[in-house]
Amino acid sequence: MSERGAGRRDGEDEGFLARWRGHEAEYLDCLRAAVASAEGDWRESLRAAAWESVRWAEADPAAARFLTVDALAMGERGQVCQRRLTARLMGMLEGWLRESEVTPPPGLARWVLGLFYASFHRHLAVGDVERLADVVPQLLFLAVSPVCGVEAALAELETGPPQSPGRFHP
Amino acid sequence: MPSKPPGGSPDYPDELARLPHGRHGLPTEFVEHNQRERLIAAFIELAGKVGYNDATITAIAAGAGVSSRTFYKYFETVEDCCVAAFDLAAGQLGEVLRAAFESESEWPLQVRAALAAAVDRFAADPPVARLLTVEPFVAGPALAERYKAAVDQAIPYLRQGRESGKGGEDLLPDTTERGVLGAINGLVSRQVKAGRAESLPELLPDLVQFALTPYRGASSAREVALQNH
Repeated sequence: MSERGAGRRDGEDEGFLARWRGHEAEYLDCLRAAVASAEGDWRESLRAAAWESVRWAEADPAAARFLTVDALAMGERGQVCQRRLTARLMGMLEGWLRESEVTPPPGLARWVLGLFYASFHRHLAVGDVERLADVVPQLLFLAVSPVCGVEAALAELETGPPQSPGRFHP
Repeated sequence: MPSKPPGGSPDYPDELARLPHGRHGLPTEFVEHNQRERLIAAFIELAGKVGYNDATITAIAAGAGVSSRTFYKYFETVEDCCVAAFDLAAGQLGEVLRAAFESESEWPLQVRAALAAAVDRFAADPPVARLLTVEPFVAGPALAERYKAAVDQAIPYLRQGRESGKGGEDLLPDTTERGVLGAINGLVSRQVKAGRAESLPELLPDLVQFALTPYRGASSAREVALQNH
């Protein structure tokens, strides 16, 4: 690569990283605020985080798309950023499970993250942010059923967003 | 299809062998088919190393042992080549999964057999794993559509779990199968992106347990997941 080309690439990297860091920090702040105001066990925390993610995406679809879809298309640098964010989110979920003294099946955190990521990506990639709220209860059902059992998890389908408002909760 | 284009050209070259230089006397149809297949194989190999975004026409053509001009005879863009590669690899994987599914008679074991076949296939050919599980999220709308169609084909096999359970499965949300398949892909693609496709078979118990849980409950799903493990 020419010096000029390498310089342009470095500039793109810096621009990408600056944008990534800004959106990631904002998103994580929102999640922490929502989870902090949720009272209860790991399931309440997960529910609060899931709904806050939807509200955040609804409030700023471009930022949500950037973290979920566009970053992946940026190649290795975007994928590394996504892997780090995923690891942080998995760490949060594992922390909630520990605090609730729940011993989850191995791989639960990876499963839950994969579940939400796939659905968010599918909707955000085609600009369909409005329907994310419809799928959250179904994702929560699939996320908690390996721990709580199917019958108990079905309650997620009837449970709406948490009452405690996060930053983007209406 | 192996993702590595084999080298050498025996007297009667296989479909992916490089053609002999000069006047080889092979039928035009054979030559064209051979070149297209080689371009696809070269794309899969290259994208497996550098990813779709950094796969160039020059490098694909070089990998196939043809000129860039020949590339344009078969494909307009890298995305076209990627879609053709996806169609071929997804078709082949579909046959492998169907055969594995049908090799068992009980639904939970059928699901387990199909998942085992998938992770084995991906572990044996990481570039194909990347093409089928990572690139659909990267390579543009045409591939995303193909991926969605491939998932749609798998849904009825998973949905059979609603019919063969103990009852209560009717309460499951309509999107259960799509959610489960999306999460499975999420777990697999994460390993592939991290360069650990070879260790995918280690994920099998988790994949089986989580796939079966909505239909059979957590403990029953775990039993099936741990069979022969």
